Amino acid sequence: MNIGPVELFVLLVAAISMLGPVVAGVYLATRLGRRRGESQPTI
Amino acid sequence: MNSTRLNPLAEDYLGRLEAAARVLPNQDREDLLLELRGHLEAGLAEDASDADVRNLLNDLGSPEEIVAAAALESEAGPPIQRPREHLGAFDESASPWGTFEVLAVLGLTVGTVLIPIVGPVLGLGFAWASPQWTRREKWFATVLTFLPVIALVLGAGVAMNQGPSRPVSNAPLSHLIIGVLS
Repeated sequence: MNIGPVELFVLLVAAISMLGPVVAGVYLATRLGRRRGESQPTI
Repeated sequence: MNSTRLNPLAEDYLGRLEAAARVLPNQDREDLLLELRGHLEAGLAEDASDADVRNLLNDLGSPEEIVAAAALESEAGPPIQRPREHLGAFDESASPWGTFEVLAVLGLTVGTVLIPIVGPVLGLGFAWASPQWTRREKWFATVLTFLPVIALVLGAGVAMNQGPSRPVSNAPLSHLIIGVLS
């Protein structure tokens, strides 16, 4: 099976580009989690 | 009603207040909403940051608490379950996690794997629609989402300009990548 650099690049982009949204989601979840921790408990 | 458009956080707060105030008599509900809107308009400068708005809203208390207090003053009495009476050691109403927040995080994480491109775009849309994150956090998440793609595309552009592509046969790196992705 011959894989050219373009195909290789597309595979790399598909794999690495998934990291961005996942990191962004974890970042947003962390921010909300921290905010929740700051506002509790109140009783 | 001559109301001006407030900060989205404040508008969202008033929307939740309006929903919670459905249990009040019509006149009481309208008075309450007008009073709160006037209070927010007076207390927030035009260039108020999200943090300023959040501080003011925290001072006011949750919409449910305000409606409960208004209901107590109303002759009809409180027809709703008052907040905090059913709470234990943990205040559930203080949770910032709503539908938009859950969908945003799920779209960006699980959605990225299950529905590539569509999942993260929807996730970002929900994140921007949510009042729980500041504009700065939303921008940061947006940049994080697209940064790898932009960096790779730019890198590819540079690499492509350096010479013609030629097939690589039995290259160990390509075998490794295909093995990981398959």
